[in-house]
Amino acid sequence: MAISLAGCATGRQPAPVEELGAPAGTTLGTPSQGGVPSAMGVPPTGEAVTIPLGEPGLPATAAGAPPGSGVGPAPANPAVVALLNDANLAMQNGRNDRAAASLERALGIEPRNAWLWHRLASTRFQQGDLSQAAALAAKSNSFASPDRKLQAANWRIIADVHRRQGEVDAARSAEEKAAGLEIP
Amino acid sequence: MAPRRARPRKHAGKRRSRQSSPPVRVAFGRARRRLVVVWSLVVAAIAAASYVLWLDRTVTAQFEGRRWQVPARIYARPLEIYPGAPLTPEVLATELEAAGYQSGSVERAGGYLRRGDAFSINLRGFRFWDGEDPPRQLSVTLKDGKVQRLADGTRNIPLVRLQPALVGRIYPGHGEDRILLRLEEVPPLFIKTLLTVEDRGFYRHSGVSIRSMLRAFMANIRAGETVQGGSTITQQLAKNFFLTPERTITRKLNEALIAVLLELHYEKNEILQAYLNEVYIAQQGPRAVHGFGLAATFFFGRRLVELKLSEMALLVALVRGPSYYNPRLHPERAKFRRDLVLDMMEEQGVVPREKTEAEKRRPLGVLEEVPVGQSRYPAFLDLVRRQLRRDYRDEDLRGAGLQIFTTLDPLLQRRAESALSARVRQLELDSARLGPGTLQGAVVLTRTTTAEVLAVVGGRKPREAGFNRALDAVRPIGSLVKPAVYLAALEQPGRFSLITPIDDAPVRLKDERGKIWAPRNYDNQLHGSVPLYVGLSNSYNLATVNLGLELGIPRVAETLERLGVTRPLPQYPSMLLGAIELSPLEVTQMYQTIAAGGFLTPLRAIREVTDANGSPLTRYPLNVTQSVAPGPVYLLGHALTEVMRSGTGQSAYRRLPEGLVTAGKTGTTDELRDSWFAGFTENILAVVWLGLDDNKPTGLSGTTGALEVWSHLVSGIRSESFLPTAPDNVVFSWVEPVRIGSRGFGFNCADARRLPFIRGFQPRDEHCGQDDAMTPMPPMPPLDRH
Repeated sequence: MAISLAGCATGRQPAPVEELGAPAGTTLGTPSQGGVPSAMGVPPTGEAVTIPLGEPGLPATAAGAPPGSGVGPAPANPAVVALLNDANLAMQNGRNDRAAASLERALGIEPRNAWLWHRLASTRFQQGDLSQAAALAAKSNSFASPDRKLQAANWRIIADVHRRQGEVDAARSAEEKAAGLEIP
Repeated sequence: MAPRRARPRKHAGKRRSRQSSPPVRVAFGRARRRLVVVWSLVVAAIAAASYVLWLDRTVTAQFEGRRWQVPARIYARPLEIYPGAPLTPEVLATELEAAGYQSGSVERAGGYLRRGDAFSINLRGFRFWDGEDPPRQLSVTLKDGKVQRLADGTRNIPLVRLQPALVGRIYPGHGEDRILLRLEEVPPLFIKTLLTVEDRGFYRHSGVSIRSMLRAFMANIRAGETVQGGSTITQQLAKNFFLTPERTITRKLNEALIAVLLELHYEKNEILQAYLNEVYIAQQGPRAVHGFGLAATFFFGRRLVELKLSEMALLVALVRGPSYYNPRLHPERAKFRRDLVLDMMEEQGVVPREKTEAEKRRPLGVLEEVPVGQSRYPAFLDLVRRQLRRDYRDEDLRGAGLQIFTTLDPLLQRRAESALSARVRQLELDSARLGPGTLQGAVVLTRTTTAEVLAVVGGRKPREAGFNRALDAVRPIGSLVKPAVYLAALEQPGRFSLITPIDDAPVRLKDERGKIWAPRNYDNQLHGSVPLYVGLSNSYNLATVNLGLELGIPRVAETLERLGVTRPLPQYPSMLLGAIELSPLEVTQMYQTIAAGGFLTPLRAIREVTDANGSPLTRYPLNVTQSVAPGPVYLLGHALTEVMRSGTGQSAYRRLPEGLVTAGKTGTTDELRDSWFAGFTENILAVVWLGLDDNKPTGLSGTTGALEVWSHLVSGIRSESFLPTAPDNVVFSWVEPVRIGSRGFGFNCADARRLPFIRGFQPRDEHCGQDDAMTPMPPMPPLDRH
């Protein structure tokens, strides 16, 4: 249902875009708690986002933390920044597939950029591909050290995935990990 | 087409003959004869009308249905250019040439100029999967092997993608090839040229033109041979489109009839567009070049819009006799006819005299070599095709004009090809056993971070399609299996660490048929108790078998499955030494998972597929599955760097730069039949197999054979040291390698080395230098090499 609505929103496409490997029939939406992935979708101004990077998706609870503290692996590379902007724009327009493609291009340039993996995880979450969201968040964490904030954000995604899949204990344990990492 | 057309006529004929039986009586005869005539006329009229109706239906169905079979086009990955990107002038020039750019001028799109390290590029627009990249006036400045500055006009830009090189096509059965054009993509001057020469009254006639037929008739009589055709564009389309090439009156009539029907149903511009795409222009082996879009590429390596008047005139000249005027075979004839076309342009007042005179002075400008007809990379395209077959029907692959964007890196592909060909030749020279030209091999190269396949070499003659060893040579993998055994051990940190002593002691087992299995070490020695990582780095068979038996074969098999091996695995002890048959591609998948830190990503050769108009059809996104915990795979990765530092892979450093950290594993099978090496840096994984097609021994081990190819290849590729980020649950400790096992953990700091352990399972109390259990290995500077 949600998928067909998304299809209408983008107008009539001559051919359906098919994401291979994406689970069929999963619902789209943002993760609960509004936190993690929402920080990325919308740039502060309508214009191009200059550097959306120092802020690895602040969870709602940590929103009061001073921005820039525990700065993530901010890509100084302007090419990566440009692609992130493209991804943001695509997401605003509901084109999650294009956002993912831009992020993958960025990963071609900076494959060890934990932030980019995190963004890709969020995008997959929004596409409703829960298992990929969790796996990509874990992948992000494999590069994220020592950025605790980013690690926490990844654990939040993993927790959200577990919750959606009805795995209450696993969700709670992931949240505890996130909370532990959020303590300065 | 032809047989279907024949049927109704035959039918009509039969009916006619049934009607004409001889008269019996004269009185009755006259009336009856009249009746017969009337009936005959009626029947003939009905037959003619139904024929016309049938023809009309066929013509419209043909015209409106899928009119053209367009081969699928396969592209390499686009080159991403951005400040800081590693790029040398030579590489950029090669990439530009591969993408169909011509050196020397930036006057037209598709041209570039190089002045030392600075490039000006008149970038073509290109429709990618995710949208149209606009044309640009690029300048790229390179310095020290990197992009220093990138600008569009005077404005600096952060990145740009070069249009990807076309590397192959999947043809329809009949070999027709074309690039479809919409009328608005065709330059007006080209249309003027075409109509001036072929059909001046095109916008006025109704399919056939008596005037031009008469004019042609007169001209031909004067000349005594056929110099002009009186066919309109519509008639020519009818001829090309629907009919067989015999020259008969019936065919001429049919052609005219179809032309009139076409004009009744369709707009002039629709007919013109169809003609522009249908016209037959050239032949290259089984490949038939149709339409002016492809003709421009075929002869000039350009898009139609980029052509100069003289070049347009040549293409129009070819319509009259594609083989007679073939400019590659008969340049004088072609030039003569081209100039004739230019004269007609002037005569008709389309272009002024000075212009045509200038254009006539130009050379033909035809490329000597036809740009990529048959594939240059059959082994890679074979993989692409197999991946596509899972999602597309064969007829769509062949005829629907799909555009397939792959992950092929043409430069690395060529490096891999030449590394393999050059090394196997040398190995044959150095060997008493190998006959010249017999040693075969395969290479698969991937980007470790995304599991994208960058290159596939299926044999020592990479241009020859045929047995694709990279995909189809399924061979025992020998010691390449060992990392799975050691990983299975390291996944139990309570029992095993990198320094756990294991026994390199004799093994004698009875297999299920009662046969004794008693493997030996490659060097025929026994090494006693060795640290676990040494068992791997020195590839000790007995230590590995003892370890594997302790773990249990099912556990090892299960680890292999998690690494991405999908074939059913034998469940007997010899599998611990690689009695498992895999193709080089399957081995690549297994090592890809190790190189990517335990994340399994299915190897990808395709990124996107779009339809003929560039609308996206399928995207193959990056998917990962964490199939091995990060800690154990990190320890395994460390042990595999030890293979290169001090084990069976160390001879690679005769070529590799000393500071480049690599990880890998050799593999050798019984009687030296197969020689394997699988190894990776931070960003590149390459798997090499060498062997003979008849499976006879080569005399080469993994070290003396495949590793040679691998180190030649990797030393020529820009890549970075394999220095993965240590997971949070990994700590480093100093240990002294030599005495482990015999005397416990002694600490002689001069010999000691730091090894990773799963936190909580590291040895205690060792301090050499400023040890800090949390610090990862000292990073070595990444090397840029070309």
